[in-house]
Amino acid sequence: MTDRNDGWHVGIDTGGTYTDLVGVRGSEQRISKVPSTPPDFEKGVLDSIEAAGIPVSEIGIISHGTTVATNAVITNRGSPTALLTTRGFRDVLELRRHNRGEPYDIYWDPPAPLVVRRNRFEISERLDYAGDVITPLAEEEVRLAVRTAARRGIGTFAISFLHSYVNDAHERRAAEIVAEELPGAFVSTSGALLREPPEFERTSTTVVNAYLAPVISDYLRSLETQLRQAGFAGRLYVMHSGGGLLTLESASRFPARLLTSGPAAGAKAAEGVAAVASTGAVGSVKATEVLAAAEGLDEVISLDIGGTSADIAVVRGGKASLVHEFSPQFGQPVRFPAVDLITIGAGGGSLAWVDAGRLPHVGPQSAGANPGPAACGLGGTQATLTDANLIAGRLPVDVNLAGGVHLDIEAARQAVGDFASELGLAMEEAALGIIDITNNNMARSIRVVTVERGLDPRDYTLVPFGGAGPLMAAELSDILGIRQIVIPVAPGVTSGLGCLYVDIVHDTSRAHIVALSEADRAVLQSIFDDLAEGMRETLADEGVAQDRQRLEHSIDLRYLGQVRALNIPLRDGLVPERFQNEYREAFFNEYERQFHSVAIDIPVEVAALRVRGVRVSERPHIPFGGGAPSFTPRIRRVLTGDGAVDAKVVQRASLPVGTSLGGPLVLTQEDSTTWVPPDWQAEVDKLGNLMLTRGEDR
Amino acid sequence: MAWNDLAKLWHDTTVDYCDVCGNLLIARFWGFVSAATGESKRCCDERCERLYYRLREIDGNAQAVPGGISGDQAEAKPR
Amino acid sequence: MDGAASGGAVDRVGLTLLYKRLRNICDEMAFAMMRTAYSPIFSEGLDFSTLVLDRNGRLVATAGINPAMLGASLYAATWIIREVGQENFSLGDVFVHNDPYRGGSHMPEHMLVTPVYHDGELAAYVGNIAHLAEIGGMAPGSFAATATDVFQEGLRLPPTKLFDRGEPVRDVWRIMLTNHRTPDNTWGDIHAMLGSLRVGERRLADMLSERGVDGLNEAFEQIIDYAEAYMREEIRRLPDGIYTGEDCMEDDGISDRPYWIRSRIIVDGDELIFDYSRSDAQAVGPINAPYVVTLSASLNGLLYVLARDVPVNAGIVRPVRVVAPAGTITCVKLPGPCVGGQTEFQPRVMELVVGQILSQILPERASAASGNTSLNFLFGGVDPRNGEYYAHYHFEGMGWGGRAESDGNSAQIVPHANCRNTPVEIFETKWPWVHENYRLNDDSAGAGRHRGGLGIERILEVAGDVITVSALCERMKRSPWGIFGGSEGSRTNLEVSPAGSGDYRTFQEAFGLVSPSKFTNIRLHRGDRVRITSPSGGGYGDPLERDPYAVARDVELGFVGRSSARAHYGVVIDAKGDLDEEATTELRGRLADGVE
Repeated sequence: MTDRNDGWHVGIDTGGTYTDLVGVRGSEQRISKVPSTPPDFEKGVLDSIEAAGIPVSEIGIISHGTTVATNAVITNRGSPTALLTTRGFRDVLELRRHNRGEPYDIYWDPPAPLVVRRNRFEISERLDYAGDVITPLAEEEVRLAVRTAARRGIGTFAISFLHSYVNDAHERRAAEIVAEELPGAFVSTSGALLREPPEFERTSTTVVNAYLAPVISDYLRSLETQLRQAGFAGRLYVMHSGGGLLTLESASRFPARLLTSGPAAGAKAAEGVAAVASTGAVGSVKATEVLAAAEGLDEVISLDIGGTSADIAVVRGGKASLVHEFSPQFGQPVRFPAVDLITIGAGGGSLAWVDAGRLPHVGPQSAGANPGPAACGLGGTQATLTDANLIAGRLPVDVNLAGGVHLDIEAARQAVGDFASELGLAMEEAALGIIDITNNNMARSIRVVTVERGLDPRDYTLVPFGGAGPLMAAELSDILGIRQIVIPVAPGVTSGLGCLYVDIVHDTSRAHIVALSEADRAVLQSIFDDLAEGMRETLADEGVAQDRQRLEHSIDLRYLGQVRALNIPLRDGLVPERFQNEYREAFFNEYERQFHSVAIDIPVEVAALRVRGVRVSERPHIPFGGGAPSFTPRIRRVLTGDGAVDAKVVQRASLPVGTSLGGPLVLTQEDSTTWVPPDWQAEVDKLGNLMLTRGEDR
Repeated sequence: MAWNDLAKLWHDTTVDYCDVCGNLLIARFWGFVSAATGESKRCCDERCERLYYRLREIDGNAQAVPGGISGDQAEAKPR
Repeated sequence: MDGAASGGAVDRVGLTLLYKRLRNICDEMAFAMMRTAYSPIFSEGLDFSTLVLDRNGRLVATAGINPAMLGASLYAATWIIREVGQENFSLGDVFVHNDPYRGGSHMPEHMLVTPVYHDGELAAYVGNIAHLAEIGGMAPGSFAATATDVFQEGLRLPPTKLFDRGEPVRDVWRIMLTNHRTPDNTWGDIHAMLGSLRVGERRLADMLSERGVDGLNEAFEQIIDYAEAYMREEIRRLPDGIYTGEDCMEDDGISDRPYWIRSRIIVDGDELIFDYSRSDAQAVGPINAPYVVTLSASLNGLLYVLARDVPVNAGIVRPVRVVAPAGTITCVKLPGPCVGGQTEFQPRVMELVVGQILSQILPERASAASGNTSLNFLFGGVDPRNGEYYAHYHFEGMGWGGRAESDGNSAQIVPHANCRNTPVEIFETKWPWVHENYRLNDDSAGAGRHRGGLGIERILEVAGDVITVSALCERMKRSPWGIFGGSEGSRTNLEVSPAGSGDYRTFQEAFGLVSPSKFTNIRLHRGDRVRITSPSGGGYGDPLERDPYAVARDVELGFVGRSSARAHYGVVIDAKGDLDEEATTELRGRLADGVE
């Protein structure tokens, strides 16, 4: 395997609007931000490398976060797919779970299934709940279905049979038949992706996977080819939704794992920025060491605010929290571990409006890039968050936004003034109101990913990035009671940096339902051993050296009779002699933490065993470049909830390491602006991160 | 036209209903005598008394209510 | 900035913020309940609501998971407090209540409410309402369609202390657990509800230490006032007038006759009266509604059409009066049975409000009738796999009515609720049934410019020795109606086929029942099959105005049959499956002239 030290390690995050790059080699670093180039996203990737001035031939590793998968699902540009189901159940995708996202929205339309009905083929076969065969697989029906689908020009197959999470023999046999009938067809079987009920979620996942497969493998192949042609000789990895890296082969086999590839990169960046910042270490540090050494900075909330939306994630114990399911749209679940992200319609372009009860709101509608905020002068007339920040004095009037747009404060005043008069407010009050409401919308979403998981946001450090993150971070923190903020060196390209901060990760699990008191130690051990062995093979297949492999074991437990289980991480893969007591205790602790109540007299049940495989990476950082010793700040008037204040306006790059300044401050840099309110203190740490802390008197 | 207690013995678990709207009466009720019929009524509160007279007024003057199409069920049912 | 000082600019903003925080508390309470549940009806079905109430028991915020519980959410806690007397509450008390004669919707739905104190002073209440799958009574699953009084419907609890100053009131627990058929589920699910209350208590405690008791209650009052103002503004926009409509429950399970619900809406400035006083007298069987169910139906109809973003709290009901005289089907009098009022009567009235009455004012927000039966199918027995007794309350999705902008959704839960189905894999793991199929019911939707959504078909085979089944549903005799020229949707069907036969007959035919849709305690045996067909939605607008390509697409997908395309839509599909435009134009012309 190519060692990272042999060349540049480059993180590239392709978003819907921009492609961000961060490259590191030893103490050298480069960054770039170029427009994304849909639908041929690979061009933007090559553009970003060129813009950064990194010779392609000198790159050792590329870690790539991409929006290609999300984009294909949203725009319905996946591959025509056939679905084979158990006879009687071809409509599982259309039956969904019968509910809707918003209870009072009876005008909601469910997403159209990714496989049209005529391409969903019912096959005679049936297992019972225990995985025993009721009806054997009708192989001829499979052959017929494949031929029919092939005649319709379909070369992609999803196979999802009932109860295959217990026994997937029928699915595997059907997949063989597809391969015999139509060599080269892409086949995705539900049991190979997901060994858990229920059928709708598993089928939906399988179908999304199959639907994306050709698109993703074409994209990755094309990207690789273009890179190779440009002289690239290193290894290319792709970020998955759970914040790990996949090889091209794995990414092509499990493309549904790429659905939140991009936002996950942001969360990993926050994880890494905090971990590195907390040790003060310079140069690359082994991730595990960083995590071990981190003090206080391993509890982080990541906040990436762009033009139309904000992505929020939580880092717990140094790791981004995961959820087991992500839905691109309500009614279209994909059950792969994904960084627990919330994306909300709150960004610089979010529109301010007034409802029938005369209460003000901001977003989720956005002025987007076109017409954009009123201040951009591209025809927008409705007030946006950017306009409000401009009026509040927090965005310097002379700043140029990406694309060379100059901000026009008169246009902003006009738009915010119209909004203000609808509410009977002064314009300044209205501007502050827009900022407050946005902060509170974000605060509510942050509570969803913290408080709802039993976590207290006050124990967390906020890592804000994206164009508007550093602008909003301090006041948002006031609402949530957060006392510390770490702003990365280059907020605008932090997602690219996140791509450098990830390990190669694989997940595998097996359902095993038994009362904990009746569980057999040897059986549990053999399941863990099986899962671990398979995982080691997977990692070895990807060329991961033995000393780079780490396996993480966990077990899903629940009270007997409960439907949902809790995932309990375990020390290692050895089932201890007194495992029943130890597991029970760990379950009670986690249960108490999440749900504030424990009943020790109800039996506990095992639901599933899980093993995660990790290739441990090293974690670089962007060395801090700036630091002119002296500066002469300008002063400007900035509005706050407690009245107007005079704030110093300082170029962030002019601040030497170790500088400590009290707010009010407006810190400017090319890709972002930071607002430091009066009660906050800003300090430049050794690595150039900006550390904001709240005054003790608050 | 006054508030009245609806005291019950602790072992009496029956319930009472508002004569105007049908809602539950608990602990107390608002009593009034209909000026139109002379019947005495037990209801939730003064709002129900006003509602009683408003409904009588509407029914007595159905034609006068702007846009009104009182009474005929079938006519209003869309086809 | 999080403050709600009186008057002024930051105040309006502060109010939005405070309300969001309260909603968040309700969401957290709901999440805790879902995650810790025992019954699939909680964890999969999500048949519950969570509530924050002010110190007088008035609803301030709710996680709107199940709108059907709105009426109970608005009144039940207030009435518990009034009946018990506020002075008789203590820290650590938890009251349980399921009495439809005291503000409950129907007996399976249990409300838990607990007072929240701050420095020894009563500050607020938190509560939740959840459907317990089994509460005793004459039929397993506690949905007795042939009950003739409330006593046959299960164990009725007036406001009763489940915890007294933090200590369980064991006698009460033992009475409940003795009278419910699946006490383990009751024990587990009530604990899930209790955990949810504790989450709510802890989060409210934070707000109380910020604002104090009076400060928080003043803010609550403002949120309630805001909701009232919002509703008044929406109502003011409607033209004054009296608008009427009617529909019926097809039978009550006891005798073969319909029960009519007659409604008129009086729009009177910024107030609105729902008057049901001309409805039929209450039924003998359990299709009656308690007052709060009629209230829920009326308010939900309004919210869906007018104000789906309004904060749902005690303010929304202030400009609205609901007249449902006691003794009519719209307000049942003791001891009338009423378990089906919540699931069958409520959607009927809601769609009457939306599709027949408000459609006269706001046709662009109207929809045709949806399947609108919860299709309650109940069963219980001893599971041969583990020897344990089980019981389950099952409901079904159906087709929604066509809407102004789009076709009705297929396989969707009744619009007045938002529960999820129980997946086949969970179903078969939990209970001894094997499914033959579970699919959309093709070629069944009401035709229209926007057609209805499709119902579903589910065939199940008994895999235990004996399963006792009951049903309580509607729309087996009367179809979901279309509007503005749209056609009727298809009906519910409940059929049975003895082991090895393959012939399906309705339960009514097979067992000589009074009602095909409402029966209790039919014993089925291993190998017997049940076929459940849920209704499809009615159509919106003239089918001849439907885009012929949309019809061709429906034919291709199998949603509409070729002959239906021809007969109902005047659309001709050629041998290759493509639209024949010429023949279609010609046929539509003839159909419009009334020829053919």
